Amino acid sequence: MLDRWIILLVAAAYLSLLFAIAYYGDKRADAGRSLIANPYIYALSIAVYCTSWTFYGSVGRAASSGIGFLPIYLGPTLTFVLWGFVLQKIIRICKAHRITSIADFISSRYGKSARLSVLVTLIAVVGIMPYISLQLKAVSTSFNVLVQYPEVVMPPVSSRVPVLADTAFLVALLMAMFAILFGTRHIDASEHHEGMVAAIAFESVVKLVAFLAVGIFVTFGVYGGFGELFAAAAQSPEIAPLFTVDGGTGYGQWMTLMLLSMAAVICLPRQFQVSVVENVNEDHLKKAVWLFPLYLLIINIFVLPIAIGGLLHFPGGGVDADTFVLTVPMAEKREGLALFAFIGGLSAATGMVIVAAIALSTMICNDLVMPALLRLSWLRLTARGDLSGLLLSIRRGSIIFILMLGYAYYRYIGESAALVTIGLVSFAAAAQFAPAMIGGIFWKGGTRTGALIGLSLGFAVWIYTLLLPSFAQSGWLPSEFVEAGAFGIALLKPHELLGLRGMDNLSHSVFWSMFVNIGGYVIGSLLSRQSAIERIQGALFVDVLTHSGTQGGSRFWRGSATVPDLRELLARFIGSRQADRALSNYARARGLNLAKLREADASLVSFVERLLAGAIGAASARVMVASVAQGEVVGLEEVMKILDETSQVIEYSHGLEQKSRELEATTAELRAANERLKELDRLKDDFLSTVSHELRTPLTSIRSFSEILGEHPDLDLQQREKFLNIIVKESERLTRLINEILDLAKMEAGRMDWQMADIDPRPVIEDALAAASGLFAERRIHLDVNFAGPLAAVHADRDRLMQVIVNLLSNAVKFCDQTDGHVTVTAESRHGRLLIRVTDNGPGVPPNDRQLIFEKFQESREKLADRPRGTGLGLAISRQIVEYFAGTIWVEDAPGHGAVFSFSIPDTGRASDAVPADRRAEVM
Amino acid sequence: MNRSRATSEVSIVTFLFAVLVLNPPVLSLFSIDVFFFGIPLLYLYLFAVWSVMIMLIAWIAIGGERGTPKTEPMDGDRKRARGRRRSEHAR
Repeated sequence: MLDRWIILLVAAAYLSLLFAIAYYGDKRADAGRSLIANPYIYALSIAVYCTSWTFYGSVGRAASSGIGFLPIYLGPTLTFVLWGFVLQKIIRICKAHRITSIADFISSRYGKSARLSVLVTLIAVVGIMPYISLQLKAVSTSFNVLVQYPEVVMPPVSSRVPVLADTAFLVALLMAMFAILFGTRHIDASEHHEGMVAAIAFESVVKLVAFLAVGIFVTFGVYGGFGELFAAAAQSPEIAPLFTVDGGTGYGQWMTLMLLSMAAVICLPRQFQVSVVENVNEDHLKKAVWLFPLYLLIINIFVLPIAIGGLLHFPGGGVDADTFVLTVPMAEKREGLALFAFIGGLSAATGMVIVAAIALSTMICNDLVMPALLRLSWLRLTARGDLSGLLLSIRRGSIIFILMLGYAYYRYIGESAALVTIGLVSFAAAAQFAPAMIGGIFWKGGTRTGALIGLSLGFAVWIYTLLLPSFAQSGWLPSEFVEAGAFGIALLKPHELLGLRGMDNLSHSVFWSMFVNIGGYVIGSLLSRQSAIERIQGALFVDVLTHSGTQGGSRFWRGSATVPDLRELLARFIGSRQADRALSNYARARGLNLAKLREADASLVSFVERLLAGAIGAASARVMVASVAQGEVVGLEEVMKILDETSQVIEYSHGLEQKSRELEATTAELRAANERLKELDRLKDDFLSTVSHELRTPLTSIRSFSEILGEHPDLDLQQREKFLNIIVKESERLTRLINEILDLAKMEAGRMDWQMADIDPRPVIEDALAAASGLFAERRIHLDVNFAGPLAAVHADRDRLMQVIVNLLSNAVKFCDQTDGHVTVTAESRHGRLLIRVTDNGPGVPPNDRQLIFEKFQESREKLADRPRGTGLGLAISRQIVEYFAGTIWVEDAPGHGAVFSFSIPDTGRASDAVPADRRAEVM
Repeated sequence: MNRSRATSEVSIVTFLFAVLVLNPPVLSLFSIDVFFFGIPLLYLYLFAVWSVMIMLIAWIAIGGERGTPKTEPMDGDRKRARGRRRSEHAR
């Protein structure tokens, strides 16, 4: 009754139904009423993990190794226990970075490296090739078995029939067409294929129900329940060992399978596609994480019973155990059930092939072909506007290519192997992604170089230890390659690399490939340096959970920020206390309770932004608030890095400002110094001109009187004497002038020969008075001398001190009243100082000139023409001397009329009689 | 995502425990030719452990969902903030 056309009709009807569901799903998605926006559809779509491997292969596996089929399903459950650490993180990363494939994910993590994405695509395409061939094999075998009904006969080996007559080839073409219809009808930026997901979910239901139907039929229909079935099995010496794990390589393989499946449930391109890329709402994950393992558990309950049923039905191995799901109902003459089982298997296979083909074609298109095409400048692709047509063509071509590759593998290599054995080769390939992926989301230090090295090495070892041996088994490579190793080197035997024995081929391959993969990744990462973009991407990937939404179960993108986030942001820049105060003020003004408020509204966000703008500038504030408010596009860490650099620049410019201020100060000092130098220069010029003038005056008179004397020898004696007298006087004045100039120069240069000693000032004053007495007598000037009490000794040069007093006296004589001159000299010891005052009754010194007259050649401007002229150096010299004695000299108005010239120098505090008498005499 | 500290720890403990009991040598304790209610012990054991695991995952996921009342996230935020600050110090 099960004619070929009935089977084909049912299959076609079923596939049409699938397509209708997909079409409806897409329509609903376009209308904005998504069919798949619920966790159950999501969980069922993840169940694409169960392919014909599960449907047919598990039973085959169970028939040969008993419970050994189970780790493949326990592993995903283990991974899903850690969903909050792994899967959720990956989903959030992908949403934040708009990642659409596993190649995208890995290359994006390691600095958006093009080379990595090419490598990952290559590994995925080559690695998944056996897996697709497995589906083709399952479908064609099941079809070929079913059409034999009611006979249970194994179909002929397909390599003996021409390709075009090969069922598997037709299946491959059909599936390619189907995948093209599902996945490449249009280009979606987010790579969501809602219709496909809906169809996959439906398929998951069909395959589960079909398998359960067969399982229940075998367990309860053929046998009287589990107990009877197992009891019957226990009788058979061939079946009984299936209830325990083989103690030899069994445990090693058990752990290998568990490890592989743990990785595969995330790293397989199609699993990545459905559980990450097609995830529409992160919340769905919370249900899916236990629904999916539950699905796995349910579908696996009857694997062992069906296997046992098959073994009991077909002893002797005449029937391939991989077909038990089909052949047991057939043997029991349940054609409807057999047909349903076939549809279930078809479901499982098409689901896998469609998703895998779409995921791989996306990768081939986006990471392999398009970059290459865009690089070919003669195509001028960059100049063309709409490339979606081209993209679709590439994807369609890729799908056909992938299916043909799978078919080729099936026809030439995979034909003889069991389903699970073929599938595990793919699992081992997919597992190569695990170190780079898991390392990438937990370890910021992983580098592009490390990932490249790890992936390449792991892939190379996988090819050498798993893929090439399967070629050799099929006769595509000489069998010596496996038996003796490459080039006959025993250490290079693909199944005993470096002499490693005692493991099954798969565990051996997984061990070595993971060894070099993880080792290369870690060591390569440690030895290489990250570029800036790698560092940023690393931080964004690793910290994605800390940076994004704190709202439980919210989508990762949030229109607004949470209050604690804003508070923390504020505290970062304006300090914790101010932040609290500002926020509580804000809340009080609006009657809000911040402790209860979680989501910040827009006005609070802008309030915070304004506050921040005050602290770090508007542009930075915007970036900062955006980082909290929308989160993921610019990560907090990235912004902090930018700000760090900005603040460094600010610090630097502060430094520059400081420097320039210092420079300004130095410049001002220099300018002042320059002014002083200029003044000094001017003074020097003045001094020179004055000195030359002062020298010329007496010289002129000496010369003119000498000429008169020489030209007039007839001059009378009196006249002659008078002239000679003038010459002598002028010469003396000249001598005195020159002496004083020399003295002054010596003093100013510090080369004066000072005879410092403790001296009694009184005899010095008396000597000075005696020396000047001639002047007083000549001018008839009255002189009063007044010693107020005993005078203390001073530390000074006796001659110089006398010179000062004489200078002051002669100065007083000069400026004293012409007719009734009166000069008073007082000397006293007071407050530890010797004070000497010379008072005259002359015109006095105008206040303006009181400083000036102590300068060189600066006599008071109001000097009178008939006054006897001094050298103009007396007061300047006196000041130099007094200052050398640590004293001061000044002039002030005398009471009534005239001027008082005073100077004071510190005394030694001892009585003047301390000075030895003989010395005094000697000095005098 | 506010998974309180407790649920994170429960996840890790569950994972480690499952890895322990689903692999040898613990597994080999049950790999014996004994039948329990007519069902092989190993078969029963594995499905029992599996069921418990699924229940634990469900409990964690649902608990994580319900366990995010208003007060708890604050704690989580502060913890995270501290961690972030610490990592900055480290830098």
